[in-house]
Amino acid sequence: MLLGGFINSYGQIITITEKEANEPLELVTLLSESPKIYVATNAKGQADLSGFTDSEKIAIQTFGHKIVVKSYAQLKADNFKVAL
Amino acid sequence: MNLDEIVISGVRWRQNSGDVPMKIVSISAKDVEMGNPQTAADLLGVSGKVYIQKSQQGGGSPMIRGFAANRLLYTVDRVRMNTAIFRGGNIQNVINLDPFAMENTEVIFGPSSVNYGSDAIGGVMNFKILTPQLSLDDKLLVPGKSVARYSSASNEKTGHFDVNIGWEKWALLTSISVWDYDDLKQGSNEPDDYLKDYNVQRQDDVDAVITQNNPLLQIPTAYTQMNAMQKIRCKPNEKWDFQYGFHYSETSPYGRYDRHNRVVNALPAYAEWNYGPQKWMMNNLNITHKGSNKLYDQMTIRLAQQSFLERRISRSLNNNLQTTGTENVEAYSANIDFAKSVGEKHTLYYGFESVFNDVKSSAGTLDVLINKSEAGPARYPYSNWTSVADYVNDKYKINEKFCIQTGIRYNYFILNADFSNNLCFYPFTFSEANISNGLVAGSVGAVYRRNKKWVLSANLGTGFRSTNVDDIGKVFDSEAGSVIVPNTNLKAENAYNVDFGVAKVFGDVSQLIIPYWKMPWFDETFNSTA
Repeated sequence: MLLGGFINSYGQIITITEKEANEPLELVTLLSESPKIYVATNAKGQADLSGFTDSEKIAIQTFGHKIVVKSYAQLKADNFKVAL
Repeated sequence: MNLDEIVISGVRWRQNSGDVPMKIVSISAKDVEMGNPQTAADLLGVSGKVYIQKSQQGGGSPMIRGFAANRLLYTVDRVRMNTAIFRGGNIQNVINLDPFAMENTEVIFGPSSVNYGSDAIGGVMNFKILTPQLSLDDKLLVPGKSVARYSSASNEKTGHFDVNIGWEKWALLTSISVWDYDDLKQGSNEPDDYLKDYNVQRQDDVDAVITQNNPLLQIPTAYTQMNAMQKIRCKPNEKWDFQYGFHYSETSPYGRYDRHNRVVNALPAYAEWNYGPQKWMMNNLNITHKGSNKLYDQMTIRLAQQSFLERRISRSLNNNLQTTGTENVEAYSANIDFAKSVGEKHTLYYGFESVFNDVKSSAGTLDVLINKSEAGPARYPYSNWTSVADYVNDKYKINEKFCIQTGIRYNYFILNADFSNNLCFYPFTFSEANISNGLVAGSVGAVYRRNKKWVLSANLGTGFRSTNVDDIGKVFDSEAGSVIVPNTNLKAENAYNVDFGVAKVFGDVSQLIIPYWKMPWFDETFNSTA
């Protein structure tokens, strides 16, 4: 119970890295139009996707990289790791 | 190369730029890092998207589509920075913003009064300051950066650091920057118009015109500046997010070089002409709630208080009377913005705004020889300016290729000016002025995305600028034989604008954008000159 509560308090975390350098990418934006949610990654390349569970399209974008559009289910299948 | 990016400026909420018919460009933190600008004005300039006019090193007045000063709107963390004393001539309030603390800057080209109200005629510059970051694992999140810079052109010595401390639900962010500029040395291949082989120094109570060996040295343009920012964030759960920001910026006095360049009878016109100190402070509380109720899916409340101090200090050569004009503006604003999906294809963005500016203006003369001062005519009357508005936008996404956005705003303004502070200096036939009026702005635009490589857009928008304190209340000698006097019968400015855009991406490396815009009607406000 205690362990479950601990995990839930952080929600579902996605980690976004730079493909070539394998470094975390900060200020990557993740936007869903339905439901309307927006988050940005922190300095560790992490963002909380808790509110995106019903999203069919999540646009993942940052400066100098192509936009990646994926559903929540696809991101889950990728173990919530994206390399741009 | 992307035709899509996430922008916030269009309707004050984050959207894919592919749904926004207005021309919006982003200047990211990476752009800033690469451009390494000295000031926030330079940040806009190095982007290549905004032209910057500078009368001196401590300057920087953005120009967009030929408009400047109070026909452009500045926002900081989505709080209106324009005050009721923003004048028509070039201004340099933007230098109070710290380029090292920018998370992102967006520039809207063309009128956007539907979402931003008065002054959004030529464009809008939205400066987003760093956001405190939360830790998303069980470790403290402590990112930060520090910068030290030296530049030889002005012997600049600059230091900056910012640090974030993020816990699971709380985060703190501190940012400090300090600049020290010596007199600027212009390039040897620059125009001769700004060369000057003399400067004025006060020696034993006498103005001495000193010959300087290096005419490239622009004396006096040296100044210093410090910026401090503290943000606190609390996100107790997924629905609520609270952010408080404190911002403070102060410059030293800085020489107005174009005035120091003036010559009368083969002598410098001025012994002193300084702007500053120029101060700006903002307290800003930002509350976001994700609701999914009948009124909204998301709501943001912004409450802000800003204090502005501007000073002009001048003294003619061999004249012992130094004049100082001091302007204080206290600005209070409240915004409530909502976003609500209606059905599958419509999204409403609507909100309310209230802004109040309180203007206090004073002036005095000081006899620098005997150190005796007395009151002088103030630049402005004691005044207050109020703006109350509501607006609504509808985004109608017909399908994946075609999107229409329409918007309308109603804005009511009240301006009260009390001229009694200047009646003993000028024989006005009135002692106060009261102006109020309601203005409407509208916009309609469409975006057609043929495919990922082609986008066509069109937008028809209006902009307005309500009469402000500078328009009706300014009294000063602008040039010999000419005095600007108050005009209490001024009407608001209105502009109508049409934009078309075609964007095409070639491969992954190049992008062609063909913009076309025309402002067929712009009725301008004029002061009276006597």
